Order: sequence, then C-alpha cells, then structure tokens
Amino acid sequence: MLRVKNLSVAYGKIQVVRGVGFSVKPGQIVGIVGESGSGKSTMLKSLAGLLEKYGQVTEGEAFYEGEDLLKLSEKQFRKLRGKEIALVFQHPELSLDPLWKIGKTYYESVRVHRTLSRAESDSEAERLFEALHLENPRRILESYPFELSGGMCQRAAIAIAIANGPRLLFADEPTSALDVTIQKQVIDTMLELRKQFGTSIVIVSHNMGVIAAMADLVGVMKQGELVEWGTKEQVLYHPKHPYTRELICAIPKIREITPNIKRGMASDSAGEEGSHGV
Amino acid sequence: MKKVKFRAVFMIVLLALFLVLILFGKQIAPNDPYVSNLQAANEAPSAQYPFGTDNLGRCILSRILTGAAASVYSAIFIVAVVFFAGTVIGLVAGYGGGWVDQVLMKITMVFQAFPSFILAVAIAGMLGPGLKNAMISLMAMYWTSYARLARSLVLQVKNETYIRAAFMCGAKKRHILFRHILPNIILPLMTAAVSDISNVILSMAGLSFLGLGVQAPQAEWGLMISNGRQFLQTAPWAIIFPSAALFVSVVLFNLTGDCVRDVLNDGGGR
Amino acid sequence: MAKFILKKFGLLVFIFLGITFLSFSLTYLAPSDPAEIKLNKTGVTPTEELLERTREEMGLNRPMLVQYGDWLRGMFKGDMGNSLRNGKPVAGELLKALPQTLVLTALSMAVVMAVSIPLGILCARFKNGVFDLCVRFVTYLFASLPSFFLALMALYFFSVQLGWLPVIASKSGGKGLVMPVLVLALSLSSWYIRQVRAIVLEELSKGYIAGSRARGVPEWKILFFHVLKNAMLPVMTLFGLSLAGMLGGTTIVENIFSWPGLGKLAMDAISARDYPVIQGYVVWLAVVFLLVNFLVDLSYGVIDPRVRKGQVEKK
Repeated sequence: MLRVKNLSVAYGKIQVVRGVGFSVKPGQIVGIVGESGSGKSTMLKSLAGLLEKYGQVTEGEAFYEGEDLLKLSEKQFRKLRGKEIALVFQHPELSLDPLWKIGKTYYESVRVHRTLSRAESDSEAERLFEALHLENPRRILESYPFELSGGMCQRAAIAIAIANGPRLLFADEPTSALDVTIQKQVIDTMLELRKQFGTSIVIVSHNMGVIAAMADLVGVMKQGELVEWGTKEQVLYHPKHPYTRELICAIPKIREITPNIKRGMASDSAGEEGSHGV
Repeated sequence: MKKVKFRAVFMIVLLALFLVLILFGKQIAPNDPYVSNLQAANEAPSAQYPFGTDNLGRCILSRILTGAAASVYSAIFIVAVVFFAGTVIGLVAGYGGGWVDQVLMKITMVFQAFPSFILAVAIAGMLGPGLKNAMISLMAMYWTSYARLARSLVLQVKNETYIRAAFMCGAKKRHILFRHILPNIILPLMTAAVSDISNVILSMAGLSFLGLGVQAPQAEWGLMISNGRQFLQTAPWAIIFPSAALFVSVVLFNLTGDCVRDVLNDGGGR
Repeated sequence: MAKFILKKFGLLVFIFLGITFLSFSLTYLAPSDPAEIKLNKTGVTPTEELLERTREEMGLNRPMLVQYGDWLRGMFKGDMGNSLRNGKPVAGELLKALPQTLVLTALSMAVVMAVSIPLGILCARFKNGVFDLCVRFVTYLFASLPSFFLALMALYFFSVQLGWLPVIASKSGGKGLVMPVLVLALSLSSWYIRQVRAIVLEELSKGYIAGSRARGVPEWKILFFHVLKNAMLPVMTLFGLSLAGMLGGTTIVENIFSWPGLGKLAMDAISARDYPVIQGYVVWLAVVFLLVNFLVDLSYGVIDPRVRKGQVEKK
C-alpha cells in the first residue's frame, strides 16, 4: 500500500536522506532502525508532509494507494493526515495541546474529517480505548495530558491518532521517552492495533529491541541511506551490512547477555523481549 | 558567524566614536551654549546656528553637544553602578543561599513591585530636583534586574557538573567563586548592561523633562525638549534636534547590545 | 485552586507591607523638615520652639516603626494625612485624581492589546516576510523614541497644525483623551508587538503544533484555537508587567496634556515639596500595579490547568 522509491531529503545543502526505498503491505509492521541523526525521522516526516520549512524533498516518489504523496499539495496532504495516514511522536505530552483535555483533542481530530457530535465522539473514544485495553476510558477523556503517566499518555495519543481509522500509522520513536517497563505497554497497544484493525505501521527507532519486538520487516539506516533491508529474521540472524552487526551487538551494554537477547529476538513471541531488549 | 562578529565590531567602533565625540562636545560646539542672545531667539536653522536657536537665542547644536555628557555619560555611570551593586547582591544571594538569599530576594521583590518609573519620580521628588538625585533615583529603579539576573545565573552555573566536581575536589570557595562562577556570569550580565543603557538614557531624559533632573541653565536633552514645549508652534527645531540626539544614542546602544548578544549566543551555541 | 490562591495571597500581603513601608521611608529622604514646610505655608516665621511643637503635633518625634504603624492604620481608614500645601486631606485629592489616571491607563491598555496581539501574531505567522520586516522596523524606531517626543509631535500636528484636537486634554472631555491615549498606546505597543511576536514564535515551535498538523487540523484552527490560547498565558504576564511602564508613562503624558490624574498631582506636589501627596502617589500606583498583577496570577490558574492543579509554578 505504500511504496517509497529513491527518496532523498535535504535541509538546505545538507543531504539527510539519500535514495531510500522500501514498501509496506497492508497489516505489515515495518521497523526502521538507526542511530540519531541517521535521517530516519526526517524520512518519516517527509512522507507525512510535515517537513520543516527549510527541509525539502529533492528526489523520489512515495506511492500510497497509487497516489504519489510527494506531489500532493499541502491541502490535499492535510486531508489525508489523520484520516489515511496517522502519526505518533516521541513525546506525547508535548505533541498534545497541554491546555486541552484528551476528550476535546480527540473530538477535534474526529471533527476535522467527519461530522458527529461531542457525545458521539466521546462514546466512540471510550469504545476505542477499551478495545486497546486502556483502563478507565472516561477518566482519560476527562484528563489533561499532564495528568496522565507517560505511557498512558502515549497510548491515548495513539488512540487519538487512529480515531479516524487510518490504514497507515507512522510512529516516530514512540517508546524512546518512556521507562523500559512502560515501553512494553505501548508496543502491545500498537500490536493490538494491527490485530484488531489491520493497520500497517512504520515504526522508527534507535532501539533495536523495540523494533525486534514489533516489526515484520526491518530496515537499517545509516547516514541517510538504507543499508540493510529484509525480514526481521534475515536482518537479525544474518545481517549483511557490518553496521547492522554493530547495532545488534550494541543492544545490551553488558556483553555476557548478548546471546540471550539475540535468541530472544529471533523467537516469535516478540512482545516480551521488547521490554528487556533495551 | 564571521558576519555577526564583524557587525558587532563595527557597532562597537561606531559607539566608541560617538562616545569620544560627545566627550569633547563642549570643545566642538560652534557657539557658546550658555550665551543668550534675545535678538536671535527662536531662529530657524542657519549657517551660524545649524540646528537653530532656542527661546533665549542659544545655539541648539552647541547645547546638544554640551548636554550630551549629562544625558549619556550619566546613564553609563548609573548602569555601571547598578551593574556592580546588582551583581554583588545577586552573587551573595545565589552563592550564599539560605536566609541571606531569602532576605535579599524579598527586598528585591518589594522594589520590583513598584512601577519602576513611578518609584524614580517619587524618590527624585522627595530628594528634590537635581542631576545627583535623579541619578540616585534611577539607580534605585534599575538595580533589581541585575540582582535577579546575577542570582539566577549563579544558581544555573552552580549546578553545572564541573562546578560540583570542583566542590567535590575540595577547591576553595573563593577560588570557585572568582575562577569559575564569576567569569561565567559576567558576559550575560554585561550584555544586559549595554542594552540597558538606552533604557536609562530614556528614563533620565524623562526625569529631566519633568524637571526632576539637571536644572536650568545647564544643558541636557530632556530639559531642552521640556523648554521647547512652549514654543512648539514657532520653533519646533528646539524639540526635534534634541529628540533626534536622544534617538541616535538610544539606537546606537540598542544595536550594539543586540550585536554583542548575537555574538555571545553564537559562541555559546557551538 | 484554593491553596494556589492562598499562597498568592500571602505573598500579596507581604509585598503590600513592603511597598507601604518603603513608601513611608521615602519621607526620610527628604532634605527639608515637613514641620518647617507646614509652618512656612501658614506664613509663620519658624522659631526653634515652634518647630519643635509642630513636630510634636505632627507626631514626627516618635520612633519610625510607630509612625509607620499609625500611617498604615490611617491609610486603611482612608486618612493619609493632610496636604502640606493647602491642608486638604491627601486621600481626597488622590481619590479625585486616581480615576482619571485609571481611565487613561485602561483605555491605552485596551488599544495596546487590540493593536499588538493581532500584529504580533501576524508577524510571527509570516516570520521574515515583508509585513513582518516592516512592522519590526517601525516598532524599533518608535521604541527608541521618548514618549514625550511622541506626545509633543502629536500636539504639533493634531492641535497646532491641523487643529483637530485640543491642546489641554482636561477641558474637552472625551475628545481630549484621544491624544494622551494614542501616545501612551503607541510607545507601549512598539515594545509589546515584538514581545507578542516572540511569544507566538515560541509557541509555534512547540510539539503540539506538529501534533495538530499530524492530526490533519487546518492551519487557521491551529492558530486560533491552540496557539492563541497557549500564548494567552505569557501575554497575560506581559500585560501585568507592562502596566508598570504604562503607569510611568501616564506621569509624563498627564503633565504634557494637563490631564488631572495622579501624575499631574504628583508633579505639582513635588514642586511644592508636598511630601504626603508624593507618598500617596507612589503607594496608590504601586497598589494598583500589585493588584492587577495579582489578578493576572489568578487568571493563570483559570487558564492553565497545570497551574490550577498545582503541578507547575507560573513561568
């Protein structure tokens, strides 16, 4: 459903993303790993049309359902965002308006694309929160972002992002600001999302453990280039690029437990390992 | 980066030239600023009186040049004093902490609770008109911001890892204060001071305008503008030129302050 | 919320005491003896004996703190002593002048807000555009001009040249207010616009802007519903602080346009060395400033749930 070809993005004269290409099928979870500054976030932003003013797509195509995203006008893009393509950011408490209750933000998101009343929006939100196993949906809707814990806030942000049933979710370091134990909850929420709604997810992270816990396909980015691409098993077991090997070795700082982790990542019950793979 | 530095150097040189010019204002003045000549009262600008004359026939250009010292140098002096006093108070409060900090900050708070210019007017009014009293009142108005800025900078620096490390290594308190803390807070404070000079110039002119500063027949820009008020219709130049002088000096100090700040921010950011 | 208000209120009381004490101490700055001034006004030649008796009558011989206590108590009862100049109660004189100053300030503040907030937002939204650059240039110029120059120029053009508006404001009702208000608003706006611009720019760089865009919220909605509300908090603080400059400005403007407010009263008092009136002037304006800032603090609690629920202190 999403096919990116030869995408290049530059900030001024500095090339940040160079000729990246990959594709996502419905219901697939794609993980992109790379250290900070490798251009992975910039790539995600360019696909959502949210580059800062000085950032520019210099080359490439990104077909979503047969339409080139990179050729869309700002207005067309806006109509797509939140409805077809949704985004989740690293700091949920910063990406939600601090003065608005969750319920109001949810309602705003819904109203941008559909017509329904606040009461309808609230009951819809409650159902969605319940489906995603968020405790006490009523309370969450009545809370300000600062009143929720980081993990809860991120899960609420994910729920808000998918309020209009988008088929593609971009997640930009969604767990990086959270405690290890909380990360698992957020990962579970996203896995639940795919299970129940068949949402495709592109998740970007510097954390190999998180990617290993979620993704079907894994890409590795280094200095703006996609140096490795394949199924999770391929990339983790048989990395071709030396950089990937380095990344995998670097997951746990303590050498001795490395083999354990690697074995864990290869297994299929991924969720659990996400938590201690950090 | 280079451009920013160049601009700052250029502004500083320009400002220095300006300061030298007004330092010798009295010597440069084409006419005697205090000789009145009622035959030539309220004359429009001419070759002999480039900026015209005031109601007593005194040369306005000469009075502007002579009055510059009272307007600009007094402001610099005031800022120097409050800069020093405020920094010391802020250092003591921030570095000492505890009840000393509490007391000093509460005093600062009370001073800041006054609308600043009102406080200056009241103090100058109580003390009686005059340059010295106006300067005292402006000092009372301006010291608080330095004390607060210095204190917050000290607190900021005090928590930096390298200062903590110095403490842990058992470095002497005085050594830390003068070698580590002071050098780190002095630059931001000085930038604030340079930009503040223009505010003080305007406040000083305001006090003089109200008759609380320099007294006649002494030349001072605010006072000259105040004197020109009655002759607004017949001799607008008596107001316009002193105001222009004020404007130029305020802009000069402002621009210099901005440029210096840009250089510092640039240096600090990288 | 109750705890929040209580804490603020405690500070308010402390600062009020500080303000009154400092204002009271101002008398000690005066080089001349109030008793002597009073006697001079009545035309009596002051002998040492007479001076001593007058000091006794005026209570000037008691310890400072006792005098302060009396003075403060009197103030609560509306008694601020009598004018040394004409013997009238100071409180009455001040009460006549205060509304005039408040009207002037309130109108000017309203103009400042009405002009600065839209312009500041526009400048920030179209940062570095032609409009932004023009506004920044003009505000830079006006911020560098003394307000009394603006006042005199306004007088020159509107009263002398065009004859539209009266030179002396007090004698012509509403029309007389136009120029003082414009001058005060103009000098403060030039500063205010730049501040609002900086505030909005800061808001625009925050995460919730990108967050809202990601949810597909249109730009105008982001600007009006999100940015405006979030920017209100720092703008309110700015409002409270800038009132100081505005009140200071009234002193100059009232004297130029002969507007019978506190500033005019104070200058007349200063030239007559009428100390109680000067004292009253500084106390009353400081209290006005204090109260407005107290209200601003409370409004913070109303607008921002984080402050209200005691999560964060006001920035």
